[in-house]
Amino acid sequence: MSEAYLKKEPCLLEVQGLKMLFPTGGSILGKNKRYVHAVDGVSFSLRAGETLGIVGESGCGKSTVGNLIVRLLKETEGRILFDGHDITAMSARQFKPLRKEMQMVFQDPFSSLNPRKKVFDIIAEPYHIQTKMSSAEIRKNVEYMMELVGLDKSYQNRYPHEFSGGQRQRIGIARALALKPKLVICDEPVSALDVSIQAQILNLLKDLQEELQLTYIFIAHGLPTVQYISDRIAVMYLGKIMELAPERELFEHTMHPYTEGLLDAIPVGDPTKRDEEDKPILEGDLPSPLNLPKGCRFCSRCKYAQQICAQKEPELAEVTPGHYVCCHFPLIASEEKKSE
Amino acid sequence: MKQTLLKVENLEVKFKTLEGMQTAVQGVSFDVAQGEVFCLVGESGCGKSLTSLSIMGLVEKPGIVEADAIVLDGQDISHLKEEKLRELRGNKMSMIFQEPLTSLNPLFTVGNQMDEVFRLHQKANRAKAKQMSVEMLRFVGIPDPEDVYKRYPAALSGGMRQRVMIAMALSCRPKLLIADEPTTALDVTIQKQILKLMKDLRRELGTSIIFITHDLGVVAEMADRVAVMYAGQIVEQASVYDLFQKPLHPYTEGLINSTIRLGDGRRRLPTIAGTVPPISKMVSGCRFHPRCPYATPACRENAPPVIEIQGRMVRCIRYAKEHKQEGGVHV
Repeated sequence: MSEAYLKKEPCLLEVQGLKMLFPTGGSILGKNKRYVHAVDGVSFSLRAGETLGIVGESGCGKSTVGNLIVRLLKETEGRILFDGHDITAMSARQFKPLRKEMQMVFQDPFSSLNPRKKVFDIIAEPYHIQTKMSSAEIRKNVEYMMELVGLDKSYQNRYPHEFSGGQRQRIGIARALALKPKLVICDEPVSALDVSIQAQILNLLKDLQEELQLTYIFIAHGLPTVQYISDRIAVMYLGKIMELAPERELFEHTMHPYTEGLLDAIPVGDPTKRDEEDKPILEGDLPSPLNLPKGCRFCSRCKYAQQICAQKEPELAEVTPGHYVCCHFPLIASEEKKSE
Repeated sequence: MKQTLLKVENLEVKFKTLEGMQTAVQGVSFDVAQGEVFCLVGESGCGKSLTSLSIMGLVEKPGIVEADAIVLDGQDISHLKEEKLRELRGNKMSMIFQEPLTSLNPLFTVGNQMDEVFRLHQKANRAKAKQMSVEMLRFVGIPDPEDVYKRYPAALSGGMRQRVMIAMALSCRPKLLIADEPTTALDVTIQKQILKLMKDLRRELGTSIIFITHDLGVVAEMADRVAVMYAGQIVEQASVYDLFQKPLHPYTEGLINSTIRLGDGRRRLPTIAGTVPPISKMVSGCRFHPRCPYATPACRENAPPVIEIQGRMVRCIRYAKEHKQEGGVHV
C-alpha cells in the first residue's frame, strides 16, 4: 500500500465545492421545479499514487462524484482541477486528450461490456479512439493488457457472455487501464462478485496500482472493502462528506456519529460475538434528498443530536491533522473521556 | 431437539439441454427445525437458489425436480399439484427473491401489489389493506411510506424495491420463510435493521427461515445451522459455531479466509484460485479439486464420500480415513 498522502506527492486531483442538482417534478414551464441535491458541496484533493475511498449508502452521491470527475455529468457548481487544469471549464474537444488520463471501472460487469463485441475489440477500442497505433501494435497491447489482468490471451475472440463475473470485471479493468491512465475511478468494482472472486479482484487492483503507479478513487458501500484498498476514506451522507481521514485514523478515532453507525452495522463475522454486545443500531431512514432537513443532514438519525444540530449546518473542518469531520460535536471528546 | 418443520431428502434438479441432461443440484439433504435459521451459503451458480425454488415448487420447465421427499410440516409436498402448492405458498411458506426488479410487476403501483396480499390471504377490505400495507412499508424502513405506496417499482431505487419485497413476504406471517439474498442489495445500516427485523420476527412468531446468502458475515450474524454449497452439492453442514471455529471442508476454509474484515488493509487477502466449473463441464472426482490446496490424485478420480463427524457433515476425502462413512450415501 502506498502512503502517498504522507509523502507529499504532487496533487493530481482537486475537487472544490462540487455541486450537482438534478431537477425533478414541476410543470414544463419550469414552475414548482424541485431539485435533488445529489452532490452538495464536496471538496477534497488527491495526491498521485494515493487511493481515496468514498463510502456511503445508496443515494449519498458517491457515484455522482465519480461521474462528475470523468465528465459523464456536467456539474451545477464547483471546480475540478486535474493535474492543474480546470476541467470543468473545458469544452468536450479540449477535454478529449485528458480523457485518457482518467478512466472508470464500473460496478456491473454484465452491463458495462458490449455483448456484441469480442473481448479483443472491447479492449482495443480505447486505442482506436485515442491513439494512432497500427493494428499490429494494438494487438500487442491488447495481449499485454489481457496478460496483465490475468486473462489468457487465447480468449480474445470470445464474447463477454462466455465469461464469469470475475473474468468480465478483469476485461473491464483491462479496458480502463489500456491507455495507461493516471487516475482510475472504480465504482463498486467488486460488489457484484462472489466473495472468493472479490479478493482476487481487489488483490489485482492493488498489484496494478503498484506496477503502473495508479491513483484510485474507490467508490463502494462496504467499509471493509474500502478500507482494504484505501489510504484515505471519505464518508458521504446525502451528498456531503461527513468525515475524511486516513484509513487507520478513521477506524481508530472515529469522529462522526454516522461513521460510528456504519462501523457498528458491519456484521462481526463471528457467531460467538453476535449476541453478547447489543450495540445500538442506526435507526431511522435516510431523509428524502428533496427535502433535506435544516441544519445537519444527519441530525434526524443522530443519537447525539442537540438543539444547534437542527438549526445550523456544520462545516467540514480539520479537527486533527488530516482528519476532517462535519459535525458540531465530534466524538473525539467522548473518546477521550473513555480512555481516562 | 426442536420439532422438524422441513425435511428435504436427496433433492436433485436437472435441466434438459441441447448438450444432454445437466444436473444443477445433486444429492441435497437437510432439515430445518421449527424457529431455526438455516443458512445456505455459496457462490453464484452453486445451486442454493435452485434448492429453495424446488421447495417452493417454482422450478419451471425445462427444469426437473426429483426428491425422495420434501416434507413441510408433516406433509410431503414433493408431488403436490400446482393448485395445492399455491395454497401453501403465502400461507405456510413464503419467499423473498433475489431480484427485486423482476419480481415486482412494473405495471402496478407498490400499493396495488401489496394490498393484493392482504386482500387475498386476510380478506381485508380496501381501506384496511392500504393501512396494513403502509404499516408494512414503514416496518421495513421505507422513508415516506405513503408516498412509496403510490409509486411504481421503476420509480424506486434497488434497495427500496427489495424492501418492498421483504414487506410483502413478511406480511403473510408464514411458517417457513425462504429469503434468497434479501439484504444483498441493501446498505449496511439498513441490512442491520432488516436482519434484526427478521430475527425479531423469528423470535415472536417462531418462523423458520432458510436464509440464502453468499456473505459469511451475514451467516455469522443470522444462522443457527449452515450448509455450504459448492457446484450443486452441499459440501459441509454444521452449526454456525462449529463452522466458524473449525471449518472442515477446504472450500469453507477458503471462503472464511477470503472474507474481508476491518483491519485487513495491511495483509494480503488469501484467495481461492480459479473459478467454479460450469455444470456442463463438471470435473471428475471431487468437484472442488481443481481449486483445492490439499488436492491429491485420489480427489481427481473418486467422488468424495459424505462423512459424518460429531453431528456435522462434510464431503471430503481427507476425513474418510479417520471416520466411518455415513450409510446409504450418494456420491
